[in-house]
Amino acid sequence: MSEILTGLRVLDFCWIGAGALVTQTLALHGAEVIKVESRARPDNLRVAPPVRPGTSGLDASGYFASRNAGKKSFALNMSHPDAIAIARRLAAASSVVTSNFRPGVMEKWGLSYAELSAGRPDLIYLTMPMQGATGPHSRYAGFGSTISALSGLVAPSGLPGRVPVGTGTHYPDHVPNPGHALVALLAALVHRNRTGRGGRIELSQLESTSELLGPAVIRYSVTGDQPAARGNRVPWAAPHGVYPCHGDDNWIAISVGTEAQWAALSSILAAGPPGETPPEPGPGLAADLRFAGLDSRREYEDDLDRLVAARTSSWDRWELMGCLQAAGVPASVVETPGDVFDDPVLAARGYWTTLDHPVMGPVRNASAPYQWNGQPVSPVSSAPLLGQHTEEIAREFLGFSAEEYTRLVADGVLR
Amino acid sequence: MAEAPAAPLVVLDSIKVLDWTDQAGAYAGRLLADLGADVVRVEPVTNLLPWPEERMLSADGHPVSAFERFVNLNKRSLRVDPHSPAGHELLDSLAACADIVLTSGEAARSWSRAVPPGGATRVNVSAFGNGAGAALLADDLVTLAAGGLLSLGGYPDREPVAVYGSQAYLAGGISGAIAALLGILAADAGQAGADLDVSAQAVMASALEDAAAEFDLTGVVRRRTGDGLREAGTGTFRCADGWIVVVAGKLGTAAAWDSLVEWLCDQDVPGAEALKAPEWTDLGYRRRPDSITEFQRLMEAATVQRTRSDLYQELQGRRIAAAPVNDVAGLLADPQLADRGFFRTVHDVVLDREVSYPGPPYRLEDHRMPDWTSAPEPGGQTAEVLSDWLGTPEWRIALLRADGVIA
Repeated sequence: MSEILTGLRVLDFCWIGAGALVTQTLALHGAEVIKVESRARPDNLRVAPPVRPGTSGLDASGYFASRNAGKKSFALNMSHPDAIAIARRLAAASSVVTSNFRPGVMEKWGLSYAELSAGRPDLIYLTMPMQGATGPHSRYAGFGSTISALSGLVAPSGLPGRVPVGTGTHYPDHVPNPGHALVALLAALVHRNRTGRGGRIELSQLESTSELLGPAVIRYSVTGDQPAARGNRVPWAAPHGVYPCHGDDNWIAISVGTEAQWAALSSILAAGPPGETPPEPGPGLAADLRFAGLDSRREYEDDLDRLVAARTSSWDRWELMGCLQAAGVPASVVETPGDVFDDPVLAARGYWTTLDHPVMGPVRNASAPYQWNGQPVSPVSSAPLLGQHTEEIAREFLGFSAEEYTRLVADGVLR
Repeated sequence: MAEAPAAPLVVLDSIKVLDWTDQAGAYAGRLLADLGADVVRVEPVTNLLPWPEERMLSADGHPVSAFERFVNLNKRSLRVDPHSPAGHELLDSLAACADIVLTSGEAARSWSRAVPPGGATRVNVSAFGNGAGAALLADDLVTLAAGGLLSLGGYPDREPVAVYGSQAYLAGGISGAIAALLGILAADAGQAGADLDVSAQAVMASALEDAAAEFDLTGVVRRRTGDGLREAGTGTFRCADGWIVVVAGKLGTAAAWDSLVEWLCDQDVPGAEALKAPEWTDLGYRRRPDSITEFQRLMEAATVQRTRSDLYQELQGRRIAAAPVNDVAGLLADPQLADRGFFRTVHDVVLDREVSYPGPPYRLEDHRMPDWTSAPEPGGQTAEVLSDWLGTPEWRIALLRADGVIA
């Protein structure tokens, strides 16, 4: 039902993070994604941790596996002169060509949009350079973390007076850049299905990430105010923060946006965890005049956060989340990367699916973040071994004879 | 005289989107509107959405949310009372001629869950999805927590700290737009009426980098590392006017590390020559706490007197991945973005002034993109939309308005 891209062939030169997630989503919906890589220069993610203890090599990376499920791997050594013609043949038989190299690499191989689209007005060509193909910084080096910093996302993310920290990840590679690229690519597919016309899509990773600062840009242009680091606090809710719970490094996020929610939170904290002696007989924080009304809670927010934290710290985090949610207070356990596998809501959605990988063994892969007619959209095959599909594609698709294939392998073209 | 060729169609020409979202899903409609879809926001007649985000003041002194202005650019707006029978009927009629019905928040709860008549693709965006978590309440912070991303932000000695800027709302919106476009592709292939249910928690859980795989394969739970450097060569360093990020470690190349050491020596930092010793080429050595401390001392001796934009140009000139930690003013002054004309000005009808916008986030270079129009005043196009979409005659619109069904 959700395999609506069946029959779409994608020649995929994306590597590392952002681009790989774009084509993984296409594969999730049935597209045939042919990932071009080689032992001469493997995708950096293939040598990135984590690996399961006792496994190693170019097929053991969990990071790679999380971004390449459902793709085919065609080992083609692009630094060999005979590789170019093969890549061009594959491109000619593909409806979509994707890459995220720095500007000039695809052009050097004769795989520019202008060359590939000659006589092919329906070709869709996605390129994802760091800062765009033109402009004074088009050849600057970068990673998700440097793009986050440039975009303005890092500076206001942190505690006042400390080094700004952002998300703690290469966030642009995981959310805005694959996401915005998919929006553009899918829209181009809709348009092509209706008009027969494709085109070149360029996603500058800096521009795509800076887009998310839109509200701050608007506000600055109107008021001259810039967002400042303020931890978890916001002007429109208090308490609005992360508070300790029982155990080692266990936390709960709580957001109180209304007086009813404040009353509910105060009352639950005053009663204490079920089965334990209430810490404070009487109305507790609800009676504290410093905390009457949002403005006052904001004024005394240091005291507020300290007193709330003192009361949450004896609670089991899941139990407190349950009590608060039942009373209408937005709250969630701050789930760790381990907790998300046990999360009951994600589990009920079928979000994680276990695939058997020939080298890594059983690996839990993520499904799409949306359900389709009530069903998860999950990968059906794990990430390919390097070159797993080389022979199949060379023989059956490109039509090389057994001898030609053997020679191309021996010559180091297909490796 | 030959006929002029017809102008090419905008990307999402003739796609109609009924956008009854709050902050959790509104960015999805914005992304579709940028591509030329006719996106109509549904706003209630009374009690306009509160948009719990930072405020500015309108031309007549009312608070206006910058987030709301951002996510509603290029849309039209219709005000209708969804609780009146006539209003409900009107919404059903609008949904029946839409390609996409986009919902989030209260709207999704107050409207029937059934796929609307007419075969529109239904896209709902919420924190936990429509299943087991449908009743759970969340804002941006709570969604970041539920999806795990919050656990990776902040400092080891303090509580986790959320990323700025309503990222869970925006990320949920991006997935909503992706789902909508997949729904259009399905409809064009004869599978109209898909029901797509986006969970922002799941979006966040997909953004944990290598941390989910690390737990799955090794049982190790990655924690927030905050301001501590993980290795010599990579980190955030103080400079004269703020901070600069440098990556010349695990993710960089050996050449980047050598180039960085060369640069430090050229700055005449006393002791920098020691970094040329062979042990410093070993990543394991560079990850030792004493190596990290020594590197940070040498690096900041060189950076602390210089501005971030100076350092940016100079380090990039040596092929080192460096970037200033920009504030918004720095972002707007970025020479690359300026050269590419990334920021645009729109005359905003509510603020009655020119306002800067970034974007769009990609370039569809061979497609016609629509001109941008101001984010609407709530109800700014009620009559126009009823006439365009439903062919409602003027007298009927006047009657609906007099009855308080629309505004």
